[in-house]
Amino acid sequence: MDRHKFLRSIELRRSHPAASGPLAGPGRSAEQARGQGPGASLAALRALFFPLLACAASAQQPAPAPAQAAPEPGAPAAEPQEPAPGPEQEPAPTPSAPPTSRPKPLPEPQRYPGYAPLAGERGQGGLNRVAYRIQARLDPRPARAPAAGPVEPAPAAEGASGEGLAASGGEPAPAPSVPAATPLAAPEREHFTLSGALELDLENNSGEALQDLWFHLYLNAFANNRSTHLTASRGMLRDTKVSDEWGFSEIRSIQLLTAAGPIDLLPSLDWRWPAVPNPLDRTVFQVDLPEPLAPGASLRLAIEWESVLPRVRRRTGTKGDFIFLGQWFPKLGVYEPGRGWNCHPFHAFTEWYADFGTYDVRFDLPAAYADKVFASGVRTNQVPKGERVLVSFAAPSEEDRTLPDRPQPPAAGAAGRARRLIDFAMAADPDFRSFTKPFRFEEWAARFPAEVERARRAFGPEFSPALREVTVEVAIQEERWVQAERHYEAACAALFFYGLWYGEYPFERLTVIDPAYGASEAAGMEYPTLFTAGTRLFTRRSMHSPESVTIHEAGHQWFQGLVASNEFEAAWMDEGLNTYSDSEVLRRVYGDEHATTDYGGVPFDGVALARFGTGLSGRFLALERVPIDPFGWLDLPDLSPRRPSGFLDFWREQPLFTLAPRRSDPRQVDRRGFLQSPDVDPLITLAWAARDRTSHYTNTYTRTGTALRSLPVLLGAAVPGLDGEAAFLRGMRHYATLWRYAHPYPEDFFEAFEAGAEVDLEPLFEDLFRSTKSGDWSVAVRQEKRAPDKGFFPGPDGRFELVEPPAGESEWEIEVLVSRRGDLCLPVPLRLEFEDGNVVERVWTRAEQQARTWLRLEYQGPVKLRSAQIDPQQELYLDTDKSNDRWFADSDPWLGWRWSERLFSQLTQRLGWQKALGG
Amino acid sequence: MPIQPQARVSDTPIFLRSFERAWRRPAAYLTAGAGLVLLGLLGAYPAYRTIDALAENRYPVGSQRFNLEANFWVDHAPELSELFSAVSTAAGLLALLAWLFGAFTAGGWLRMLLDPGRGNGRLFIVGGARYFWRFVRLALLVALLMHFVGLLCHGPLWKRWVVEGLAGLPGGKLELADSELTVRRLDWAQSGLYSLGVALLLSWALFTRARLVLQNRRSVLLAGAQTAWLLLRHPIRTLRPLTLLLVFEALGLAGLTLLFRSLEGGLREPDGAAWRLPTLLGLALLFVLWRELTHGARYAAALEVSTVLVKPLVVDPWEDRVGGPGGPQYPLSDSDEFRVSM
Repeated sequence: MDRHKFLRSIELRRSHPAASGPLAGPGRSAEQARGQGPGASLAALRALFFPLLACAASAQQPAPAPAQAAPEPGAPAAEPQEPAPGPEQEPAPTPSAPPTSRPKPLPEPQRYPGYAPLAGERGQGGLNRVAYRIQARLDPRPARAPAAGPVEPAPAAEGASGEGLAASGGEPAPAPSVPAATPLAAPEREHFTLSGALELDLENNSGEALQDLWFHLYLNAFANNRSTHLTASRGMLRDTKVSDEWGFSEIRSIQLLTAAGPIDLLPSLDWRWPAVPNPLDRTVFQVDLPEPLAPGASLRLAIEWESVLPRVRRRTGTKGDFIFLGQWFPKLGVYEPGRGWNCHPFHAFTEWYADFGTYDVRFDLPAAYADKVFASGVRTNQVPKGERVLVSFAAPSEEDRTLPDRPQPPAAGAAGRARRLIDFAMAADPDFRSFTKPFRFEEWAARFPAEVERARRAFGPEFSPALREVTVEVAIQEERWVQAERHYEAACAALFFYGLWYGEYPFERLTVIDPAYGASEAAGMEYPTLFTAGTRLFTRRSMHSPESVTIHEAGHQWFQGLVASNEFEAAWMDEGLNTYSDSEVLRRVYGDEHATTDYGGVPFDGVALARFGTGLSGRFLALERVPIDPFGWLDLPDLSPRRPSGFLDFWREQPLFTLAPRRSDPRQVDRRGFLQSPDVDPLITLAWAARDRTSHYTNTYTRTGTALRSLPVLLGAAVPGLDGEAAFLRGMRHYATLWRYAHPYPEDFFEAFEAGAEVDLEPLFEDLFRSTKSGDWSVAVRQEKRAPDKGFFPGPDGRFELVEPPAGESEWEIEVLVSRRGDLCLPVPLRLEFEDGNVVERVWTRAEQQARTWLRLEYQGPVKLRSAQIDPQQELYLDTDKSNDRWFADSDPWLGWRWSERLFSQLTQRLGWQKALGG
Repeated sequence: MPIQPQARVSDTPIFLRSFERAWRRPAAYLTAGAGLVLLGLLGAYPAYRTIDALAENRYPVGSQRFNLEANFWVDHAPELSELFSAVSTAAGLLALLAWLFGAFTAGGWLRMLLDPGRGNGRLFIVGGARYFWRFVRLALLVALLMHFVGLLCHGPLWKRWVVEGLAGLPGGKLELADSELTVRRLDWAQSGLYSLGVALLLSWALFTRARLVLQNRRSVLLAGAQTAWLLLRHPIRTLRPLTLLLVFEALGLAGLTLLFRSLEGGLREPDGAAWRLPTLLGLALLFVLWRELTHGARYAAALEVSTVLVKPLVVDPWEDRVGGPGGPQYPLSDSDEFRVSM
């Protein structure tokens, strides 16, 4: 045992004093593997949670560092990090000691070897391939129920991959038995346990030898409140303070399957915390390979684990008998040549990153779930077995995994690459009802011929769009059955538009999941070929719910399902591109979003402009809440004469009469999001390095979407004669098709986009993506009648002569002042329209703006100016204030009347109610 | 002196008769409506100035009439936030004024309705002033009772008995429900019960005010207790006309709303504002007047029912006299001397 392993084993034992139990070295018996009754499971739990106790007992190590301070605006990307110290340089583990008054420092952040900075990084395509074969048994258990007996090995699923669960070398090995669920100490409620066994085939195409393997164990993010995930989110998960119903995963065994027999890798298991040091986090682990895996070679692993599924609070877990499994099995990280393992802890602000592969999965569930299980790929088999049912899935389907990707004209794209997936998710609910219908391109092309023509114009005459037929399956709650068709239509809208713009969806099925009531935390999440939407009982098409979330999550099939960028480090590459795209689809298919106000859960079109009585005093005067301080010592609550009540509020406020319409273009909604944090961190800032969550999420979603949406007008303004919209489409499609089934980084996006658009956009990308520059362009107009000449003027002979004012109309003097505030210089189009119909158009170029922050245009003539507009098409969404972009000679005389009338109506109804309370 | 009751004169439903009585007293509903309109205008006027200033010369004519686009809200967020925040704060104060105004107008309505003629503004004001403090005390009592109605329907009892007990949700946690429809139904049941409770409470308050005026009572609590007993003994006779007036009012509001919505849609047209907006303003005023009118009709109904069911307080007209009818009438005082001889 080398020194490195020796030190690590000491660390392991000191961190896990109960590791002599289930986490101990090789040679343990099956009984030990399964655990003997509650004692063993308790020991296992102690082993898992001992670090928590050890830290409490020792010197109270400080909490993990929060998000680091943002870099200075305009500063380059993060400084190159020092390569991680080699294993020999790891500091000796701190032994547990009695509490002291001063906290001991955390160990140095562990970095995997070869970690390089983000700026300038390039991605990779078609590298390591993985094949998972998973069996999982789910059992609902009340608290502290006795252990079930061992589960019989299940027969190989019919129709699954012909490999079955064979060991390497080609000889079929007996299917690994799924260990029985042990009675883990659980909260006092019914929960689900999962016992899993997987075989993983890894093909090393990285060009480098692999010394070890890194895995994600995402479920441990919900093990306790000290995980990196919960710490970063301050204990909140999707607006819920998490205080119980935890979940976790424990590895029971890891074996390297060789021709000579299995090799136990569990003794070398070590927990890792790249970039975000937190010894209490157990979402990344590493095991050492007895021998390096050479480039081009393959290996096979067998892993057994057990999980307690958490209450679904963020994407994965259960609620009642609703199950959603996402990130539920030990998942291999991504090895990047020259960079090493890219395997981040599960941070609250980040999502996933994984290699492409295939998944053959079988679930063993209670019989109530028959026909109610939906997962990635296609279902291949369902076998009832007494009180249980075995359901098998293949992702991609057998047919899809043998078909290479089709060419995506005008470029070849990823033609010839194997169709693979990066993840596997499952949903099951006895209350699901299934709606299945095919997507057909011809139907949508007939509905939106202009879009097809637009694509042809952009991609060239040889572009002949034809997208494959896809079976869309919606698993929806019974009570929302009326919305099934709407989910289907929204999914088809994504399949059509995204397919037209970015290349066809290559798989035969797309599944939409409607989470159960009370499990909305599982809503709005994407997985390959399956995603969760999320809706409510009473909703209308005009509210864009569930259409908005459905299109967005379906859109993720492209970004990040096909173009698998690193969501940890560059979340904007999928979320931002998708935000741009889904808003475009929404606008085209569904129009403006109508804001509504709920009364008794039923939405009514419109909003109230002002609240009625705000703050303590306001609410007191409005008799909403009357503090009765003199009786506070009696512990009497405040008087609340008014309580929320749908019926009463409806009668009191008369919403059908008084609410003011509020309709929003989805693109403008993105801009609203962008303006929440337009210039705090550069767009490409790493998630954990952003100033705060708002900055990160703004950069990731709406700022990227807004920047992309502004590119067409910028392209058109920057290059005379260029169809900016067409160039933009070409750039996006080139990137999306070139990087299918691959892992691009930001520089790959910039390069591919430039190549597709055939325009040098480096300065633009520098400003928009790598800096915190922002800008506000404005126009101001002064126009007045030129004063007639009066006084003495030099005559032809040079002598002064008295000049009489000429008869008739004098001319107009017009001055148009275009200004720029902020440090962002972008070419902006200008348009001046005169009352005689004359139009002057020009571009205020980037070079001109860099020389000066203003531009003055002067005219003199008999005709007035009717309007002066910057960005007349209103497509420059990056402008931080668009209210000063336009000037019109005429004002609307009725605008004040109109909106004060709305406010008047709302006030009089509310005041009328108050009056009725008085008498 | 207590006011003498008037006998029923016809078989026309009470609610229609009441409406007609209220309708024949324009001074009442116009005065009450004008006060409400004035309060509304005080709150809404800042919006007129602000929106005009924000939009001046910056938007194509007609583009923001039907709907203020998202960019408008975003780009003028600070100003709009300030505007609506100020309005919200002012609305609190206006709410208090409206509440007091309500106590005043209630007295005015009742006084006008008791007058056999059409009444006039002076009578309205006299009535309002006469019963003002009694009605303020009653309004405070109403607020307190509303709190208890709310406590019943929204407090721990509801959670324990209904959500946890009847619906079977542990800990009264709605998120544990199996379906959203279950939660919705619970919400509607709660809202319905609460609305019913408030409606009954306000009906009780209406009849209490009528009793206070008819009997010229001072004690709000006593009058309230007696009214509660009255409602329990005669629920149909007392509540039916009020219920029918509620439906009548709702129908009128629905009609005005339909008209309003159909006109509002035309604001999308650039030239559609010239006649539509004044019409919409007029409809808004009509909306206020209609509610005021039906409110007055409710008082008329309460008075009419109360004059039949509520007996006047017994008063001996001879209590402060000596001798019987037809004889000399001397008021007694301490300085009087008298002898009785047989």
